[in-house]
Amino acid sequence: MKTAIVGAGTVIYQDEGIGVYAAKYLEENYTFLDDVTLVDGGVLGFQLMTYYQDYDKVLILDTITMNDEVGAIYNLPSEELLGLGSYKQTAHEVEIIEMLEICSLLERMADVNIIGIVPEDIEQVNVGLSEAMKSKFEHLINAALEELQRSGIEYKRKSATVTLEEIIEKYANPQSEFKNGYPTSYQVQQQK
Amino acid sequence: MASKHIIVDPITRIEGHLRIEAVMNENNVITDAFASSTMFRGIETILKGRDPRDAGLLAMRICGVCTGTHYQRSIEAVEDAFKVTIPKNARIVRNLIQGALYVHDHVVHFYHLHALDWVDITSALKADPKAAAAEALKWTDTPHGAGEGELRTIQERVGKFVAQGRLGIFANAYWGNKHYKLSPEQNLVAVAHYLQALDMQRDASKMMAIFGGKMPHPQSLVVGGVTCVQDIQNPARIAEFKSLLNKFRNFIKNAYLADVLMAGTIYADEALDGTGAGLKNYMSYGDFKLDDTGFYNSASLFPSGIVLNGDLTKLYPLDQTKITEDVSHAWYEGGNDKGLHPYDGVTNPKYTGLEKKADGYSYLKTDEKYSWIKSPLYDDTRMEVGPLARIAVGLAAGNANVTKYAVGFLTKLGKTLGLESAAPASVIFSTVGRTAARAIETELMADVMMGWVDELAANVASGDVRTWTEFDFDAVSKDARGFGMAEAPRGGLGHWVVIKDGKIENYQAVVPSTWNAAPRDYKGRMGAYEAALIGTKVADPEQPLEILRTVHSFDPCIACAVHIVDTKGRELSSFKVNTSCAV
Repeated sequence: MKTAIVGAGTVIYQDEGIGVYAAKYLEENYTFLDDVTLVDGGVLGFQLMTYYQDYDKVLILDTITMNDEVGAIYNLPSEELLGLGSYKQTAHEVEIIEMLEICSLLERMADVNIIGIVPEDIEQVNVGLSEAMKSKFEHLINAALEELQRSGIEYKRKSATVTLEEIIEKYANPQSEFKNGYPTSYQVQQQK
Repeated sequence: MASKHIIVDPITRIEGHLRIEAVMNENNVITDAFASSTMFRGIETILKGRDPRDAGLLAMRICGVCTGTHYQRSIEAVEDAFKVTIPKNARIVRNLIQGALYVHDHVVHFYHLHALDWVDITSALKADPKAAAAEALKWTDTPHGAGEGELRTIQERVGKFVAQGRLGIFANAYWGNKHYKLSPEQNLVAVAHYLQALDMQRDASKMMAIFGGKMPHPQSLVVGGVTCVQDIQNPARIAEFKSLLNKFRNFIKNAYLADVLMAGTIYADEALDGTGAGLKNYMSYGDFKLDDTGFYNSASLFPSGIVLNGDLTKLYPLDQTKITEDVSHAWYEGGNDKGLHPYDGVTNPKYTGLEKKADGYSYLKTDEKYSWIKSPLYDDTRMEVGPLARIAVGLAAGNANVTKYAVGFLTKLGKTLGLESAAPASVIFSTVGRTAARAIETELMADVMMGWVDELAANVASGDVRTWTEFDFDAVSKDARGFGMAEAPRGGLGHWVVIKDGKIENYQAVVPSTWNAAPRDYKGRMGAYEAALIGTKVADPEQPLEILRTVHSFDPCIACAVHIVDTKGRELSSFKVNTSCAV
């Protein structure tokens, strides 16, 4: 089953980044079959449409608004979410649910689940997570793994563990791989 | 009650995304309007103290649609500060990545985010597919996917979906509103293209990935050039890009342009009377470098400049030092009157909230601060940016390419309207015109990109494989400042960076929607959205279709900052994951 596990959210707004960290955490700590793609979606716009169209199963890890306590986790199937985007009544733009609605006009669309967590703070400008999110992070991962299991998607835990802290650090201090240039001549030789 | 006050607001946990409050008189004509929204803020807080060569990796996180554009702007701001000129291959590759973003973005915007403001899907169900196939031939000699059989299949499919109640987007639409003017057959043709565009957009997405590398967060750009050396030396990759582009280009010409011509003709009254024109001051930073003479020296596909009061006979040169950001009506402190230049910009939030009135609704405090967007000014004047601004500036500059495509469209429109000559250029100063301008530049872009692909292939074949310009980081980063100003699909985007001793000291980004969606300024003058709504007649205040039409015509990109899934208070408790027994 062609599967995409997409971490959505804006890492520069504190808890907004939890979905991105979760997808990265799965990528670093688990092995999957070749037909599973892990996506650092970030504030994924139109490109989500392609995943909805080309994959059998799309799992989105994200924050969610809900009248519930901070840290509450939901697993929402796409059919429950259709109709919430209300294209006509909002003047704003591309969102996960709007993309779902647009794609619902297609003959065939991926089976989509959103694993969402109610965040504490998505306003502070900071790459990191609140304590409340950190303490619930493992629950979010487990909710994602449960959904994978239910859908018959295999995974295996790797022996070494990359911690949440290490993953956040990668996003907080990204380093340009080629900031001192790119070995053009080397690449050319390799090609030959 | 003589006047009505209506609010269009998705209402999320955070105030905004984009909220419009409009006041209408007894004839349902909008007499006042206010735009409020959330907007990314505080990128400078995050970038301060970092290595400027890494800035792009965080700057790209500002937006999900223009990710690559922010990435490139940030890198170019640093290149400008370091006075580095990139090699020819890098320039062309960057143009191709950005060009692919333009054509993808514009097509998706028209069909999937804007078309349903003009096209009534339910009306399409009443169409005669045979007549619809004939209708399609009126707008282009070679319509895309609009034969009788195809249209019939699509009509049946949509009919089935409607019957099943399967379509979320039908739930809250304004179907049947009398300001929908297309015939059932015209609606069916547009709906067919809406569906076909879903498939087509995948090709454009693939194009971006060929040179952009890993999507959605491209990694192939660095300060000094690009890193996709292998891709440009691989003829198969270049050929793949060209073939995807050519296929998409055919769709642009035979579906997108044809549908915009059709809508432009049927809604011509609104274009001719200037509904939605707004400020009529247009600014373009200029973009898509056409030679290798360096940043702001080289000729560009879209010229830079300013047009004032819709006067296309005069073009004023752009001077970035005249840009300031005023916070009089924005939720920030600091600065006064026309505000600060981005090099000196500050971002100190001061949220003062909304005001609950007797009717139980919360309203913007429009006399005070009412938006997260600052009000940018150019030489103390409000400006509109975007495709319409680029076309207006291109026409005023007498730019051959822009003029050819704009006049080409206006000539066709003149013909379909039964005029003796081309439609007047002034029709573009309207909501309909703004939508048409986007289509005009999409066709232009798709055509010139075909040439750029060949130029790249020829240059590489000639033995020039350079993709990166070397620089001495320690020497150039002691005390430098620069800006990356160019045109994102939605309009002028600028990143300004101040660098001291190898680290970022100040950073500001002024994004296109800041110009367009901004609130009032210190003199009480309106922003572009606000001004564009004044004078618009709303057929049914319960269905503010006309407001959405005008706001959507700007291609608003406001949700950049926050991407939370909003369940709008719906009862979904049965989907809660019980975590108490987990771990």
